[in-house]
Amino acid sequence: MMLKRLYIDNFRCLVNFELKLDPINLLLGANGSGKTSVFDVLRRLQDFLIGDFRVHDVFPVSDLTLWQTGGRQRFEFEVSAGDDLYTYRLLLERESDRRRMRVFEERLDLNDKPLFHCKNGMAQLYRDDHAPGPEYPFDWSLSAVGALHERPDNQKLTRFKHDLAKLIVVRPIPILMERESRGEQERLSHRMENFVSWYRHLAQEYMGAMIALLSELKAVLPGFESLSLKESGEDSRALKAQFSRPGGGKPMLLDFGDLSDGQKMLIALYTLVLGLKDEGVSLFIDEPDNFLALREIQPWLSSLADEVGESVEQAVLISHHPEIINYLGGAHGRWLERDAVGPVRVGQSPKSLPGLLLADTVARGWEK
Amino acid sequence: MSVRIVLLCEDLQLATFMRRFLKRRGWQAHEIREEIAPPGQGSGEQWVRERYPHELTAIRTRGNTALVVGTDADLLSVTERIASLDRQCQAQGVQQRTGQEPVIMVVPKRNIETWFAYLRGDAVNEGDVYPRYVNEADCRDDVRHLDEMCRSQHLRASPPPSLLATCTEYNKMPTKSP
Repeated sequence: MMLKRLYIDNFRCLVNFELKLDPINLLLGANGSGKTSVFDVLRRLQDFLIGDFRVHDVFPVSDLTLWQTGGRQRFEFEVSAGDDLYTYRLLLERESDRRRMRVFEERLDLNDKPLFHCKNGMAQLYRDDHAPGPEYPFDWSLSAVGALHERPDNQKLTRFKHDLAKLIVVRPIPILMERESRGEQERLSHRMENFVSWYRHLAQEYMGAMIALLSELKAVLPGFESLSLKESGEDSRALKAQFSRPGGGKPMLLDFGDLSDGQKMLIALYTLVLGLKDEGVSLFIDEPDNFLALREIQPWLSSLADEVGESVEQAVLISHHPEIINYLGGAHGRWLERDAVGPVRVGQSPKSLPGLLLADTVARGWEK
Repeated sequence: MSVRIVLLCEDLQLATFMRRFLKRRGWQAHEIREEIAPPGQGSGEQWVRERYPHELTAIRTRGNTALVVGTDADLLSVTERIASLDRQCQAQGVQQRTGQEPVIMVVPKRNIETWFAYLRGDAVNEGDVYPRYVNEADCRDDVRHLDEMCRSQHLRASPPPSLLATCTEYNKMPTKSP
């Protein structure tokens, strides 16, 4: 799946905000310009739709825009799946006691024809041929789309939810990555805390991809030989990295938790790019450059760019790093800008000044 | 673990095409450094031309490193575009490349999209303008076709002369050691 358009209204600094995306993009902008809020919305929409969360847990009242008086919050997104285009719309409103948000309207269309519509607690299901199906009352604290179970006549809606699970929105923080796994996990947590459990799932499901991953890691991590999951207790597995010893001798088997932050980050980043072969995932990665050495950034970035359209359907990054800005910012940058504490806008693609690289132009504030 | 090839390119599309080709020939991403002209104001061709003498000096100092220069011929001939790079060296007091140095000129005419159209199987001429890809990585099939032709040492009929010239240049690329 590929996220083509996102619309957000009345969420933190995002008011009447629209972002259109390509297969690969870099979100640029000053701190406080709303880049991370965009990723937050995506992750929360995913939690709401396929994570069984209640709306007031995912979208608390405190995230309404401070200077807006209205109590309604709107989210819309369009995702392409092959030649099809799904449009999802969610309108939330503040409950009368003003403490919580509730679902006022939720709608899913495929190629502008309805698959589902729920308004004011009344849900209308449509079949795959868009003919009206059953109508029924529904709890307005939950996603009615998310609650639907797969049936022979709602395959298109089911495919939407299945594809939504391929959206990976992360901000990797190596120090938070757990040392071992108590079970396989299909979904990565926001800061990749559960990386080892996710890796355990991949190692089980995507063995071919793991071979390519290990080969790539050998090329970029000096002395690296392999990764393996070793039993460390009942149901527990510890991730171990094997390194050759300088000058030969028995290889060293290091606990993943004992690797440097940079080594963990490299393993995590290459696993994101290569670990889900042929799944067509959409990667949204906030500051992938953290902890990487200067010469490690571009090879990872070019590997990512080469996978877009193959194992990765879409890649959207947030970064302030000059390497990434110079590589992607000119051709694929989306510049988010904001005056003081006003709403965020997507400005024109930043341009470098003659004789300066784009990152140098941005560093001087001369991009506009 | 250090860089063995520097790609000096006038845009991301040319760099993507060359990087993907080199990777198919056995080079790895960490062995390739891409230096790409910043888009926006100013010409990518001019940026490459002005940077070329510096990169040439750097690879001579370093040794055991190839320099691949990617720039469109546009309305010039391939020979004229390469001569403009040589003149820039002369102007900056840097010795021009010699035939023995691993300095490879990749100069598509009119531009890289001409080669893509040829590699897709179209009949092309080097004067027309052919469509661009939205995503640079979409050239993957074109790169694969070129690699297959190189391996069989036989280009499909009527190749663009600028592509033939680059095949000759490519013979100067160092052999990839295991």
